[in-house]
Amino acid sequence: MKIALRVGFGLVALALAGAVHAGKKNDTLVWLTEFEPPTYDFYAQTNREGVVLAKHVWDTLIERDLSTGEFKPHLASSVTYLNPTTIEVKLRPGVKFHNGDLLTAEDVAFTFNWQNDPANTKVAARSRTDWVKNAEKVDIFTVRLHLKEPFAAAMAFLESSVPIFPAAYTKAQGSEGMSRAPVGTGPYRVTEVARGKQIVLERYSNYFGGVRGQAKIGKIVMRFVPEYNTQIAELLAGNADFIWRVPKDMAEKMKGRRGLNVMVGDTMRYGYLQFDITGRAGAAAEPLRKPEVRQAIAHAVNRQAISKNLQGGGTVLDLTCYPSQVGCASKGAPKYSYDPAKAKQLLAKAGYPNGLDLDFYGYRDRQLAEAIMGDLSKVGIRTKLQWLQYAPLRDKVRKGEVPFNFMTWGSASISDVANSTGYFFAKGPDDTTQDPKVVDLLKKGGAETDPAKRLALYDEAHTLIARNAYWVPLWSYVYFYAMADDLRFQPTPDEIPHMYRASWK
Amino acid sequence: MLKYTLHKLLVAVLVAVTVSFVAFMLLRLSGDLATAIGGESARGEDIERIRTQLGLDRPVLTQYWDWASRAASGDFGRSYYYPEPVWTLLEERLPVTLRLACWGLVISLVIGVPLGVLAALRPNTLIDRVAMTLAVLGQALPTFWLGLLLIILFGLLLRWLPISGADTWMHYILPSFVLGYYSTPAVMRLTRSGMLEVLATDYIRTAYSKGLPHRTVLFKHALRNAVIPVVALASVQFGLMLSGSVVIETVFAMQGIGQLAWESISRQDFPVVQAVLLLVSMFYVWLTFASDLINAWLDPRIRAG
Amino acid sequence: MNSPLSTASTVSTADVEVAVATPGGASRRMLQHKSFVIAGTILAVIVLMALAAPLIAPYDPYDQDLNNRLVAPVFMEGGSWAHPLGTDGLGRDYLSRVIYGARVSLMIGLLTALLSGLIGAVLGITAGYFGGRVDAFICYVLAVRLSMPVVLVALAVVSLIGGSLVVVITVLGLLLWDRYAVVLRSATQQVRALDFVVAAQAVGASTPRIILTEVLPNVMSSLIVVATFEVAHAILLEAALSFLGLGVQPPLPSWGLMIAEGRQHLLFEPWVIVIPGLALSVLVLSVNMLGDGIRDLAAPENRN
Repeated sequence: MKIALRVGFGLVALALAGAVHAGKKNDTLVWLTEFEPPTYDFYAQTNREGVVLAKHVWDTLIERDLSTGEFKPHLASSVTYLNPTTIEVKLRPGVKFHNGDLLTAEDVAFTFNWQNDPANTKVAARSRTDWVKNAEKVDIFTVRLHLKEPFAAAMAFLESSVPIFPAAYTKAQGSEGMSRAPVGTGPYRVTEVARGKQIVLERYSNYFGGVRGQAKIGKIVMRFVPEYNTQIAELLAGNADFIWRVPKDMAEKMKGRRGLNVMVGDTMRYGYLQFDITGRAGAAAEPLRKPEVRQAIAHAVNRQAISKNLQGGGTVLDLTCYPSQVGCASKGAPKYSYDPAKAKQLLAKAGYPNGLDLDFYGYRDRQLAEAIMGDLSKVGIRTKLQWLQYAPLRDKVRKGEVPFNFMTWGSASISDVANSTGYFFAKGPDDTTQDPKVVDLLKKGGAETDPAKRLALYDEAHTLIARNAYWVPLWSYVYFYAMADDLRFQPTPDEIPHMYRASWK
Repeated sequence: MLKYTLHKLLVAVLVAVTVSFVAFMLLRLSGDLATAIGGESARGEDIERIRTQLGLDRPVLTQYWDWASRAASGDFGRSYYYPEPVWTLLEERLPVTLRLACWGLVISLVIGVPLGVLAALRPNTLIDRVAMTLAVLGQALPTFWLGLLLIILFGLLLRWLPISGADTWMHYILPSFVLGYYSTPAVMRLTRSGMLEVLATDYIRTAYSKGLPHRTVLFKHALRNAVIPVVALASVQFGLMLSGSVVIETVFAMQGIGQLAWESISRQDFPVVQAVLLLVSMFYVWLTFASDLINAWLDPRIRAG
Repeated sequence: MNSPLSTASTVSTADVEVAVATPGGASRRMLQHKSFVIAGTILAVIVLMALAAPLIAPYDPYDQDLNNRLVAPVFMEGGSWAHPLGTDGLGRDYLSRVIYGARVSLMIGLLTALLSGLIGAVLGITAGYFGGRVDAFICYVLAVRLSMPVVLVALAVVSLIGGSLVVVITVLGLLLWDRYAVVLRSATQQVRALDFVVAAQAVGASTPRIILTEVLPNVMSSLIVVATFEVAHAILLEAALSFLGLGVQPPLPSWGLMIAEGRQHLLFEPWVIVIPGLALSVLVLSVNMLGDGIRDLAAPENRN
């Protein structure tokens, strides 16, 4: 039996050696991914694959320049503030949608107004557009966005969350029609939708280019394969060219194999330990209302080791946001080093010399959760794991039933603290801290349009949060990507593989 | 016969209704669907809006009556996650699972019946125990492991079969085998005991004493009688396979209702979960109703009760 | 007799003939039945291992060591006797986890079988003894239960209230009583017609007394046979639930959970799945063999 095992293992190793991928030959990239979006209408869903596909099929008004990181006009030719609550957008003339329609101000205005319209029931996250009170068409290529109040993260939202939809087509086809046959201006057009199986994209020959330039790969086939072992088997067999979110151990074993290339990229998604100190979680959460207990937890978890050994990388974070997000910096925020002895001291000081018992909630990354639990038990904090699915867990957190949890947040890839710290500590439904001072600072920061003043406000907020250890920020997540070695691909931190920038070697 | 049929029909309908009610109430154990639909990055306001839009703020019994009355006419409502109506989703995915279940059944019969016969001919010997072990292994081996092992062997190393998907008949070979192997112990045990029972009867002894050749006795008489309960079991196993294919559909990336059910459970997409539970139960209810009728027709003693 | 209701279980009523208890000779027959002895021995070893776990396990099964993750077992390349069965993804000694895992798997199997056995026995005996409307009602309840797909229902429930040892045992216990009910109903029907029961009724003994003193001892062997198969069934279902993330919770060393946790190491560190898988298979096979053996011993005249 064991011999069979060894032989089997050897054979797998052999199999790894000879993967021949057809991708480059027929200019088709076969990309395997776990989850099929429920609909291809970007605005009716929040699924990660849906966001990725949207990036390829539609364009946004502004885009980030890869080399400088600056926001540059893309579909727009200029984007300017007329006053703190009015943004004027001038569009590039001559841009055509995949179905031949010309892009005009009507489409931009429609995109905002239709998503904000209460009669529209197919909106998954109105927060993408509802910071705009209404969009006014000024002339054929000019739109004015009237904001509800000054919104500092407007540019970030325009870059990531508002792809421009074709007004006439969307009105005629509705959300379902758009899902069946998506139409946008983007570098790829959808040529086949096989529900449950795959979606096929082909390079759009009339793409206007803009900040993104032309796509190099002719065809992309995205297939839905829920089991990652199966994805790897397909990659090894040469039937697929690109897989992502590969578990670290498997990725490392595939490194160095002929025919394959394994890459790792940091992402904006970060993990955190959250406490409910509002008092709603009852007696179970009482110990956590003492800052020393929270600080002890911060010192007890060996974030560096866990992230490095279990995840294979990632940045250890000290603030409740991702470093590249605008506003994510703080000069005064204390850092919590890995120090189990200090953790025990703090616990004793708080009145728990023999440790304490806590319920610990989580929904993903079990090994990481277990590693955290192991570290906590070493300083006397005995945890009982409550493992739930994401939705019920989030529900419980909002109701105030969860004293202590481990969760992650991707900020919807928005490069602004407004969607991370600004979301969790400004009295929103997921705010389990509700410190009035922090709330005030963040609300002011959200409306402040002077960049320097804004950063100062966020700096102070982060210092307060870190001093009180309202959260224990853990690490940023890394993604492992495995692909045929004749594919040239560069990962980016926004959790979106930008295939329109990829090419064959 | 008519009275018997009507009686069985009544029971079938009663069971169907009860199952739908239990399934509906079961899923109300806890949880807020609005959060599930909103997804991992949705904000509080978005979730509240979803809640009112979908009528999730009404009393539970009202929601059930609403659903049940529509389900009776084939309208299972709309999924909370997909834009399509639930019935469309089921329609799209049922063929895959049905095909898997059929082939799985065939395989479990192909493996289980001969093993059972073999064991019955040599009861309590090594052959019997080996046959039993082979059969039970089908349940003791983790399904996903067996599936992935076969993928590595046939899909990766030998390149004889495709790895994932449900496009051609070749795609069904490996997953059907894994599914069928799981049901083999049940089939085998039943065949074995059925054969043993029949072989011990006077009917068979008479056949032997008449001097009929061993093989004729075996196949023409014994097996045919022993097969009746196996046919009934097959209908039950079929229902089991529909729910047992969750793991297999996931591993082999086949979009059937098993995988749909699992994903819908994770997302708390209640209308879909309810519809799938109801659908699977209906298969069982109507298959057993049909086999009850067939058995009664074959064996008048059953009708008499 | 061959209605789908009875064939729904893998142990058909044809399998289980009621044998009125006969004294003596039983232990001799037990020892002569080969597979019963083998299975019994293996199970005894596993039970002993579970009981003596703190004494024989070389390490604490919860002790993680992130620097020593995924060490190979001693019989593979890179292994050593420091960890004879290697370590898992969190660096925990696998041998210790396998030893302690026996406790969890056995506990799940036994407690679930106990709970479902209680429910199923009550329902089955009641239906078989009283007949008529009571029987019809219980058969209806049974039909409802049988038509519900166990895996999906268990998944749905656990996904809503969270998985844990207690939840798994309760949920499975409340779902897996059907075979008991079917078999015991049939067995009780047979016993009810026997002389001594009729005599007891004629004498005017109270119904509970009759059931407890006359019926129960005589259906006990059927009960035990079903129980052994159900123990195996419960253990396997827990493994399946754990694979889908909704079984017992880490860091509990349950063989089912260990198999599930090995999913990401399936291709390159196969021992993580093979070792607990082997342990589970051995346990399930032995339990099945034991069940077969008991059934044979309880009704020897049906065999050969």
